[in-house]
Formats: sequence, structure tokens, C-alpha cells
Amino acid sequence: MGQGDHTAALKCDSVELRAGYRMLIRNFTLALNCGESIAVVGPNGLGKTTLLRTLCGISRPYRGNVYLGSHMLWPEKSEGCTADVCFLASQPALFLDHSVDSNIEFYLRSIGRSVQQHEIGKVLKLVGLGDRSSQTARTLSTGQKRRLTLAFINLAKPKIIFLDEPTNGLDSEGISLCLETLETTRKSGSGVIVATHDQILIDWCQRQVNLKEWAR
Amino acid sequence: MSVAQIWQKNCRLVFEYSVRTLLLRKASWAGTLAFAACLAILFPFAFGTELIQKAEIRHGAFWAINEFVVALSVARLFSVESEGGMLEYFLSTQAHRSALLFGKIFYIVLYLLSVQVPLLLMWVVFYNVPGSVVASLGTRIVPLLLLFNLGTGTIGALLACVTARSTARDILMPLLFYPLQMSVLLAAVSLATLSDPNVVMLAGTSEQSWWTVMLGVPVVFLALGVLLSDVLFQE
Repeated sequence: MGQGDHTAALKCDSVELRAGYRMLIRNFTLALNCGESIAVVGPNGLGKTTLLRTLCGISRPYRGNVYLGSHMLWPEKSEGCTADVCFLASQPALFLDHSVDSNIEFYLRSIGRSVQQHEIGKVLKLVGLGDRSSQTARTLSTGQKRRLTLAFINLAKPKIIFLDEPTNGLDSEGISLCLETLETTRKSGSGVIVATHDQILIDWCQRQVNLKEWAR
Repeated sequence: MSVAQIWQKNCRLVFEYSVRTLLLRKASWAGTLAFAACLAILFPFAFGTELIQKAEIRHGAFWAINEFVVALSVARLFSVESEGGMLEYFLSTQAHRSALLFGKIFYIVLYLLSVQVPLLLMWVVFYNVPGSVVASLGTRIVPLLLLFNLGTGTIGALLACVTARSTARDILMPLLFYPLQMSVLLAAVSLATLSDPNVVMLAGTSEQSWWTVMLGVPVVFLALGVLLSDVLFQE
């Protein structure tokens, strides 16, 4: 999966999303290529998070088809649809009672990666958590928890990454680090979809998708 | 790596992290055991010390305490993953949802057993359990506990999956769980009393029928778990 590989990592067509009986967006169509970054923008409540959750397989769309590579994800998940995809929510997902190291281990094992301990140490140092590898995740600040998820992205480089407001809680140094991490990951061939209001992040993305266009 | 190997790895990962979390959060395990111990001590006072000599309530009390332990454990099966947002992350990795279910079933069986073993010792001491019953602990009561845990854990984990992301979870869980699990409880009590020569409970039903229930329930619900795996955790 190189930089020049433009196979669509994710495709969706005619997707309709609803929140209860309320329609959020309809006829939404998107294709994400390997090594591409897309910013999903739009006002609050339009369905950015719901869209990301649908595209990564957590929530079922009301209507429409979603494909991960050549495998169908919605409406019926096809056999062998095991593409390495991860969704990092606006609140970093962590085992709060586990250490930083243990959380990284879980992240990596969940998508079938194994990384040498010294590599993990190096990346943790890079994200500013070098001296906190044995610290419990519960005791980390919001920004540090976010940095931990950045360390995971850096180590795992999943094929597709869905990020919901990834710069929330990060200081300016953290935001630069986030952009650097995403850029490195994108260049390695990962597709990145970000739901954000952060202009710096929007500017970094190669394409923008404004959900207003698909709102009812 | 084949789909089966990925499934196995994910199942093991869920089980391992659940156990590791349990070891880190010893307080919840100790709290459940302390609660079970309190019940084991209080029941004789509630029934009267004379009555406790009678075998009829001995077995019922033990399984009633087990039911309280189950109630405390099953409802919180996915609380750790939900609390930290790990459930959503794990679902997004395209891991097969039945791997999550089976990992949790293995975990709950082990968890319940870890509380039941010390509880069993307290029961023998506090309830004047006769020698013949003590002799059958290894051959009847412990295997029964394992099957009870498997049946209960399978039903509990399946329903916990279905209700994990429902806003009505607190009401839905007991409403769905207890009617389904009651058959396992009745079978366990009935089969346990057979080790006590002086007690005949739920007479008229053959031992074989209760064994069928004990073995059949986990099989049925495990199969349901596999068949329904695509809709597990559906919002």
C-alpha cells in the first residue's frame, strides 16, 4: 500500500442517516482513497459523528451501501470484511484502570499488530508520554489521553482512521503533533477521515465534505 | 491469518483484558464476595437456626446467594468497556462481534467461579452441610456450578450485548434475563439436592430432564450468539 496507490479504501453511496425519526443526511456519497485525507465539516447536530460511526461499522445507516475496500460493510457485512479500521471518538477510548503500555498493547493487538517494546517506548517519547508508560490511564489529563491515541496511530497505521474532533483538549504543541502524526500516517497509505471544526485540521485535509449539502 | 484465527485472537484478547481489569479492580470482586458472605451469614438468622439444620433450605440458600452474585456480575459485564469508550473502538476494528461475546462468556464463567469457590467453603461451614454432600462437592456441586455459570453467563452475556448500548438497559436486563435464566437455576437446585439423600425437591421430574436443561441452555444460547452476532451491539 504505497503513496501512489489510489484504490478506494472506503466507498459509500446513497447513505441516509437518521436520529430517531429525524433525518440527518440523505443520498450521501463518498469515496476515500488510500493515502487521502478528508475533513467532514458542518454545524453541530448535522450528523458528523453519526456518519463516522456508520462508515466504520458501529451504527447502521437507515439506507445506503458502505464498502470497505471490496467488502460490503452495510447493509450486510460480507464474509472476510476484516479491514484494519479504527474509530477514535471525541473522548479517547481507553481502559482507564490499565497503564499506558497496556492500553497501547490492546490497541495494537485488536488490529493484529505486534510492535517491539523499544518502538513503543520511542513513540511514547515522541508524543510526550515517555516517562508515563506505567501510569494508569485514568490519571492522565485529557490532552495526554489524546496523545496516547496519537501514539497508537503512529505505531499501527491502520488502513482507514476515523477521527472525531481529534484536536479537542490538545495544546498548540499537541495540535502540531497531531498533524505530524496524521501526515506521516497518510503518507504511509492510510486513509484519514476527520470530523472537526478546527480550521488548522480542515486546512491540512486534502478534501472537505460539508454535510450541509446533504442535509434535508 | 485465517478468519478463524483472527476470531480466536480477538476472543482471547477480550477475555485476557477482562481478567486483567478484574485483577486491577480487585475491589469489585472483593465487594461481591463480601456481599455473598454477608448473605451466607445472614440467611441462617433470617430462617432461624433450628431450620438451618434442615436440608430443605440449605441448598435453596446456597443457590439464592449465587443468584445475587449473578445479578451483581452480569449487569456490569460491559461496564469497563462502556465507561472508557473501548466498546466502540473495538466494534470499529471489524472484529467479529461473536468474539467479543464469547470472550465475555469465558470471563463471566471464571469470575462467578472465583466468587463461588470461597462461598462454597462458607456454605459448608455455616449450613452444617452433611458429610455425604461434602463428599459430592467435587463430583456434583462443582460441575453443577460450572454448568450453572456457563448457562447463566451465556444468557447474561448475550442479553448484555443486546442491551449494552440501550438507554433502557437497567430495566431490559432483568426483564429479559431472569425469565430465561430461571430454568438453569431450577435445574441446578434440583440436581444439587439429589446429593442430599434426605431431600426431594421438585419431585416428579427426572434427573435426566434437569441435566438436559443444564446442558441444553448453554448450547442453545451459544448458537443464538453466533447466529445473532451481526446484530449484537446494534443501536
